[in-house]
Amino acid sequence: MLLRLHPAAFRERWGAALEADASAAGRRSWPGLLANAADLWLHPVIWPAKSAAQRRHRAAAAAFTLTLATWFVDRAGTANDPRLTWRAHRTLNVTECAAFMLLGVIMIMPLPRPTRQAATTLLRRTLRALAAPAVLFFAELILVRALTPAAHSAAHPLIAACYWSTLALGAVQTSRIVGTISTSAVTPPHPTRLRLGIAILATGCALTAFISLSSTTTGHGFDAVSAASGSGMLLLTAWFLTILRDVNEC
Amino acid sequence: MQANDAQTLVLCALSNGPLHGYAINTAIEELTGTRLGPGSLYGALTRLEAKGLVESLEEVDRARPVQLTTKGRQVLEGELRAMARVAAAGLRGLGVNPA
Repeated sequence: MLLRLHPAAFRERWGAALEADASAAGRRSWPGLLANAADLWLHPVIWPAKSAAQRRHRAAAAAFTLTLATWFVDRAGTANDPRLTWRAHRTLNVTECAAFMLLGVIMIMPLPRPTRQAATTLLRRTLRALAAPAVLFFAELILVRALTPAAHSAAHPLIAACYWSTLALGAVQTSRIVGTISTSAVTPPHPTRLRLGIAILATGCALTAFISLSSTTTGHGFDAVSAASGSGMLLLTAWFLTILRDVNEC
Repeated sequence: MQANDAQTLVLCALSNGPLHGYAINTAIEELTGTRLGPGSLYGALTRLEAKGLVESLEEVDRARPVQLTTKGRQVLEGELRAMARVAAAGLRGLGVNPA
C-alpha cells in the first residue's frame, strides 16, 4: 500500500527490493516510507530516469505545473480583491508578474520536433486532453447568456463552482499534456534555458506572493484570502527553487 | 554530507565493490550498528543515482547491484578526507592521539 504512494518511476526501479525490505522491517518502517514518498513527489527531477533529457523534461513539466498552480492561486486572489491588479505597488501588479512568468514558461517548454508525426501527435493529445474543459467552458458561457438577471443571481454559486472547476480541470489537463507527451514528439529544453526559465518563474512567483501578502492588511482590516494566497505562493516559490537546485545537482 | 548521512553511509558501504540494497544495509549495520529504514536507503540510492555517484549493474537473481562511479569515488574520497581532517582536529583539541 505504502509502495503505491511512490512515483511509478521509483516503483519500477526499486519497488521489489523496497517491498522486501519493508516487509522485513515491519511497521516501524512506515513513517520513513511515507517521508520518502512525500520527498520524491517534491523532487521529480531525481526520480530514476533513462537519460539526462528525461530529467530535464520532468523538471520542465513540474515547473509548468507549478506555474499553473501559481496562476490559479493568483486568479483566486484577484477574484477576491480585483484591486490586486493595480494597487499595492504602483510599479508592479500581479498581471505584470503573470506576464513575466509567461516568459519563463516559454523558456522551459519542451519544443515540438519539426516533423509531421510530432505535430499530429501533439495536436491529437492536446485536443483529447482539452475537450472536456472546453465543452464545460462553452456550456457555461451559453448558460450564463441564456439566464435572466434574476435567475443569474440565484444561480451565481453554481456558476462560480462550474467556473472554478473548469479552470482547475483545464490546468490539470494542460499540465498532463506537458508531463506525458512522448519525447518522440518534443525535445526537452536545453539545460541553460531550463535553469533560466525556472529562475524567472521563481522570481515571478515570489513577486506575486509579495504583492498578495503586502495587500493583506492595507484594506479594511485583515484579508484572509490574500494572506492564504500569498502564503501559498511563497510555498510554490520554495518548490520552484527546489526544482532549480535539483536541476543543478543532477 | 555528514558522517551519519544516509548518502555518505551508502557510498561508504559501496567502497568495497558493488552490492544490492539488502547487502548495502547489512554493510551499514556492520559499520554503525544500525540499519537504515527502507525509505532512507532507497531514497539515498535514488539521489545518488541522480547525481551520477552510483550506477546500476545488470540484474542478478532478481536483485540489481549498484556500484560507485568514478565521480562517486572522488566525491566519497573528498568527503572522507574532510571528515578525517575535522575528526583529527577535534581529537587533537581533546588531547587524544588521532591515530
